[in-house]
Amino acid sequence: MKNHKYILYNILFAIVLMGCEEFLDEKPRMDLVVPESIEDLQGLLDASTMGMNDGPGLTQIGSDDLWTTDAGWVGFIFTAEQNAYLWKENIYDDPFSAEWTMSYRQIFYSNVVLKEVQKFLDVPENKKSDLDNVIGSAHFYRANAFHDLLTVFSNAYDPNTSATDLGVPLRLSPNVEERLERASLEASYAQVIQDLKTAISYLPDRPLFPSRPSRASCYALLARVYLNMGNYEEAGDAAKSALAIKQDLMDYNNLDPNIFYPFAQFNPEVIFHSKMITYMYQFSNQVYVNNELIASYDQDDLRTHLYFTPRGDGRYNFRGHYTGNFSLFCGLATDELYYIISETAVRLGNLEEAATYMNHLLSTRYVSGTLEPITFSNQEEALQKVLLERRKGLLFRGIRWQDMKRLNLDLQQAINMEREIGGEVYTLSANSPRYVFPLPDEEINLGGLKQNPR
Amino acid sequence: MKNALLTVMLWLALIPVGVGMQSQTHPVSGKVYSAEDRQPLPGALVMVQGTNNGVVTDEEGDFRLMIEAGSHVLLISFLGYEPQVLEINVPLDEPINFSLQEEGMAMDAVEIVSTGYQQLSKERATGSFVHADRELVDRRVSPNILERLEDVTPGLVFNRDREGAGTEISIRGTSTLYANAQPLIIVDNFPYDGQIENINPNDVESITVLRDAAAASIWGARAGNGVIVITTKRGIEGDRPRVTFNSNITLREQPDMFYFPQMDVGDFIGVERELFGLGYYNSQENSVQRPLISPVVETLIAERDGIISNMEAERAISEFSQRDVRRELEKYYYRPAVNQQYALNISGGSQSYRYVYSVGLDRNAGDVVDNSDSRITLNGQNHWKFLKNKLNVQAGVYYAQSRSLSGTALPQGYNSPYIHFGDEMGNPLGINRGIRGTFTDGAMGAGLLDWKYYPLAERGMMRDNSETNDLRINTTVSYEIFPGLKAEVLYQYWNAQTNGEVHHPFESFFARDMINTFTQVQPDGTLLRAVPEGGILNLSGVSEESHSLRGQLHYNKVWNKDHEFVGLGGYELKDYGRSDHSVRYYGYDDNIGVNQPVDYLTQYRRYQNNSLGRIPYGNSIGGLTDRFVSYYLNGSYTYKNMYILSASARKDASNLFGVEANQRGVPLWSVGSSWVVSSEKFYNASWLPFLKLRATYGFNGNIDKNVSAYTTAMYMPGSANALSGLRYLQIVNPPNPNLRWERIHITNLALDFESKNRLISGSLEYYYKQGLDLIGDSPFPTSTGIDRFRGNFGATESHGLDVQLVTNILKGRFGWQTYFFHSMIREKVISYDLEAVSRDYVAYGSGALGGSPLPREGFPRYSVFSYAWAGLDPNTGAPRGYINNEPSTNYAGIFSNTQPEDLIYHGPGRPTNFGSVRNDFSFGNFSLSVNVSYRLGYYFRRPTVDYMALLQGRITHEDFARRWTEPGDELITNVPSMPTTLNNNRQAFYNVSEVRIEKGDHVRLQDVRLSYTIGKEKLKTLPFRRLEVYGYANNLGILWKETDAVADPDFRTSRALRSFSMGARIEF
Repeated sequence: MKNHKYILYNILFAIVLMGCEEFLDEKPRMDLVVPESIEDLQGLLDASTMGMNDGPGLTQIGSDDLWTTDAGWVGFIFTAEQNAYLWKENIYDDPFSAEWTMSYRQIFYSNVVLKEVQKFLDVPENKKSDLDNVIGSAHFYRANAFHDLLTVFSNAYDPNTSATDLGVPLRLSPNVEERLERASLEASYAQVIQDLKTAISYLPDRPLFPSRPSRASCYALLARVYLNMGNYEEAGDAAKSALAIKQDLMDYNNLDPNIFYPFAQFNPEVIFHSKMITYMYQFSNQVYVNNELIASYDQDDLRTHLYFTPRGDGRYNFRGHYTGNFSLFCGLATDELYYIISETAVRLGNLEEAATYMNHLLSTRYVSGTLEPITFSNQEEALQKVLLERRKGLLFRGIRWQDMKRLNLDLQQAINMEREIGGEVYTLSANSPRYVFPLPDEEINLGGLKQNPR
Repeated sequence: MKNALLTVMLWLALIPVGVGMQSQTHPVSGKVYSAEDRQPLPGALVMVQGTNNGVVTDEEGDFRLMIEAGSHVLLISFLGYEPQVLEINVPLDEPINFSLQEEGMAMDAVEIVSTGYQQLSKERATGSFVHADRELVDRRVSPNILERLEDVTPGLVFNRDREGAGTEISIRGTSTLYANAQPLIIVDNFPYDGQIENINPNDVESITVLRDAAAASIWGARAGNGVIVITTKRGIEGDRPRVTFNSNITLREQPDMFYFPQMDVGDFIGVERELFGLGYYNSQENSVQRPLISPVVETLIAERDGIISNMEAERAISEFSQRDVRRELEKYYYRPAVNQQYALNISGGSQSYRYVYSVGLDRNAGDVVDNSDSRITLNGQNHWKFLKNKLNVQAGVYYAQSRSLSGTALPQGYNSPYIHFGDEMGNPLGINRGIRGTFTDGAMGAGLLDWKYYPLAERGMMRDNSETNDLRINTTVSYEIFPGLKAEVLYQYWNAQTNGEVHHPFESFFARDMINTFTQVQPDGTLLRAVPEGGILNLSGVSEESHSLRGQLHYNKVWNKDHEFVGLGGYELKDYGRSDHSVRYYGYDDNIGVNQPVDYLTQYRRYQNNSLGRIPYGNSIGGLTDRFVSYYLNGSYTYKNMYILSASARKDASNLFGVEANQRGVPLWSVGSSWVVSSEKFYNASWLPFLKLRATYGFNGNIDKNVSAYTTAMYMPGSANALSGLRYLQIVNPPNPNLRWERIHITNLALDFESKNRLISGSLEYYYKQGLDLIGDSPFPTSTGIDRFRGNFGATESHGLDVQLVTNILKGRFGWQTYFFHSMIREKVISYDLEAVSRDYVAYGSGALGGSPLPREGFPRYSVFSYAWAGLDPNTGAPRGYINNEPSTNYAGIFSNTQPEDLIYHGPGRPTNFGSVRNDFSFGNFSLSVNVSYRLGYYFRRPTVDYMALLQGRITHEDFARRWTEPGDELITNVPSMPTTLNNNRQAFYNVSEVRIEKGDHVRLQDVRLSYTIGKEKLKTLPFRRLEVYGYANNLGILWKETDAVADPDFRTSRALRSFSMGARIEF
């Protein structure tokens, strides 16, 4: 009798003791983690699917790289792209902006990494390079995202007004409760440069994987940023530092124009892969390359065959995506560096250097032996030439919009645009506030940020 | 650990009592059961006359008392039954059995409800229970047990507001926003982890639905949505073997392809011709993506290009207009479904042993050819008593094997409604799928595989099979430590293995299309097949297992005859694990079982559009773990059988991820009381001999395991990373250190009554529920990196009434009983911070899957809103809304200028009043049961023409014929004119405008059951004890509906299929 009782008690008592906390420590899903290792943090930065390798797509459609017909415009399914094409006062049909959301998600992921990485600073020697790569990458991604935001949501950088012009909120911590104002344009650019300089000290020269950033990508972005700021000397130096690591150019003579997308993904010129946020205009065969631009290519220019698909009536679609796919490329590539060096050299008066870099690049773009080397007689003519070459080489790369903004600061280069849809004419005059996209409504309502005037 | 200590202390407190009582007395044990059906009566009072000594029978109807030697009188009483008195001489050698006669020979047996922890008579309950007994469970014929609760359970409703969303049951509304909203399902004491389809309804004895805090709070943190307790059949002690065989066959009508009112095929072709004339298809014709172009448009292109003559084109097109793909589907694919059910059940027992064994077989031929499923269930339950009934041991095994086999999938990937699958002789025809025919024709010439799709040839070609083996083993050991105190250990092991196999043979379009897509043209012009020739085989497996363990103490004590205490306390552990995997094999040859490797890493060019892509990777592995640790106490005190007080408390802790240990658990409690007014001395209303009032108050919980206190992230496989193929982490949610469990606060007030001779009996219940700390979203500026923050932001409020009435109008040879219930519910979100734009609130209500509504403060969780309608534009026939009170066709402007408060609120999307009237007639051996159900007070968006679909080549609603075509039409129609360009906002505005809202109110004849029963008591020469032959017809049709817009407000796009069953049940 008694025995039964004690056995029962003991069983029950054992059950009670089992209820220690470890039983409940098991995680509910195998694939769920609280990021807690260098591999986990690298995993956050490798989240291309979450947009780590994406850039703005809405500025491209407003630029003079392209135009469309009435039917083509109707085919833009997203209201935002229809409005952005016509530089309308209101752009979005909801309180969000994909460009804003995407960049700040990149910043959030980077900030999570930079905060969590503090726990692992003390790592064995063989893990040191992984750790450095994570820290450097996070700084690069953050800088890249801030810079993307500045091209969409802020004025071009004018040193005379940058201290008071509005930049973007400089979010440097993953704390979602933190509320920030928009920093000045000057402070915003300073943050981009600081992050890039930090990244340079951590990253390897070349990426560990083609989709990841490297020291070369930091210099290349730095060159773009300095150019946008009008710091020509630093821009040229940064571009040369990047070229010192990676100077590969594809000889277009070796590419097959019969392949629909003649350029490979991660091709030899790509320094950092980034594609534009998807909009319908990118897939439309009724979106045509600027006719004047098309006319500016020489007969022996291989780009006419590799970049364009003829559609009759002198109309051409663009297909020369460095993504190797239907998405538009907006990352960093070596060709851009040559254009930057040429332009900055002209602006600094080194016409010969400018011609050397320009000819080196163009020789890979023409049928072998047909290029008549460019020569510059004076600075003014040289500037016009390098700027035109820059347009011809970097079209549909998400660069033109910011170029238009910065060139407008110089009245001689100012660009006035006109478009006609449905019988109505729309204009965008140089330095119009319409060059700066409005912030999404929810950011004004919830975040209390100051809206851009339109 | 604190709770563990508490439990131990409870033990220690009780032990000395037990030891002290064991001397000088002798045990007297026995059983109390109902004379009519020999079912045990739990909760009957057994007293030794003239002493304080007494107990209440346990859930097996057993009792055990310690009585001093000598002569005593035992009093046995149970509400609703005649009391019994018996003189005994202690010590006794044998247990004593009492069979109680029902009082006044009333018709209904006492209802025994089960909470999953204990069984109690409904008379002793304070909480809100609904009980479906075996007769009611058996009334309907269906393979699924839960379906049998529909339209017979007050407060429980099957939601049909989102067609295709599966069975969504709610009990007294929904008191959560985003967490699980389904009731907890208990099968034989433990939460059931498997597919409910694996439970054979023939094995079910009864179902109890727990609706309020007092009834459900014993289930704590998982009880927030209500609890459904399923109790399987048990044998009866001392009964000779009973064999029951039940068999039935159900015929369900063939799906009706013509139910959805579709536009005329000739009109559709007219639209294609008109659009072709406008150059609408130019972009598709020129597109690098090579999209599918319909046969009519291809004919028109050929005519334009001079490839065929005008006459040939017209002849071809007139032929197309004679066709209808729906007829093809009916001819080649659909058929009536047939379900066969066989169940054999053997039960019986001896003095100290009882058992039940059953075998069930269900075979179902589905409504698509070559589709079938089957279920085999085996069940064995044994119950032994040892040591003079002090030790009870129960052991049971339940095994179910479910199989589904499919050899044919419905044709897909064609748009045009005039496609032909076969020629006059029924020979398979090739059609284009996904990719333009002119391109695939050329590709075939270039050496690719045949790129056509032959739907008829694919009938029976594929193999899409799955099999689940579900095993449940449970055992209970209970031991009576001393009379009144019983210790119990329950354990259940459950295991389910599901294996699936999908084989697309080489000849199938799926395989050929995959191979062609990844065929690479080499620089020298030769073709390289990156996906090798052969079939594609997908295998998947899910392995689930759970252990549930419960240790508990039952205590009951009666003193001074008038005081009665029943208590229960215990500890429970649950460990559920699931692992799944899937693999895909390419180049598979089914005859030799050999497959070939592919390169998943290289990005290939897709043949049809040159885009980059990797070969789809079908391999994955996953795992889930669900663990609970719970403590609970439950007690009730009864005074003079008149006053009952009950209380319950429970604490649950779970393996919530990334939560501080002290936030893993939640304590929940409830109290209740009831008062049998009719037992009071002052009560003398003889016309209403029974009147009872009940009131309960307490909290249930709910859980959302997707939120966490830390930054959590989920690993995604490299195959999901199109760019680099690197595995990556996706942040699931930012940290929320203030996370709490959801709580649902429920007050329930009820009145039970019974008139003289039970002419009318019933109950009336009022409840008030508040969902507190509900997990919801709070909007965040996206510059934080997130746009929504999930936390305890929401609260809901609901109140309602459940009325149940049973009338016994006629008794005797001709019998007539009516069962009526009506449920009313009013729900409201009372706190929710997220204020979205007006457009976000109208997504719900279109009847389609996926449109889960956004909660809005001040409105029901499921609310139907719309935009004000300003009529059609008299010049263009475009739909118009309002901007600043002016009619406008600027749809983006209407959407952005309309504030949420400007939306029209129509009402809830789920019924606010529902119920049913069931009439049971009997005449001699015949009985007839007719159930009429109704749902009132809700709204839906009626289906209408969708021009976006039409412009993309898909046929749409017949409203097309009622569209605006010329000025003046706006006076007689609200259907907009046909646009000639894709205009998403124009269609979107029309979709969510007020003209599409309809009232859902309707009454339907749900089902009819006719049976003939003959028993041995009437005809002694019968070779069996009882025989019932029955026929059952379900979904008989709508009797009344408010709207004319649809044939059935609850089945808007496909018919609720009628079914007819015939069956027989024999008892030997």
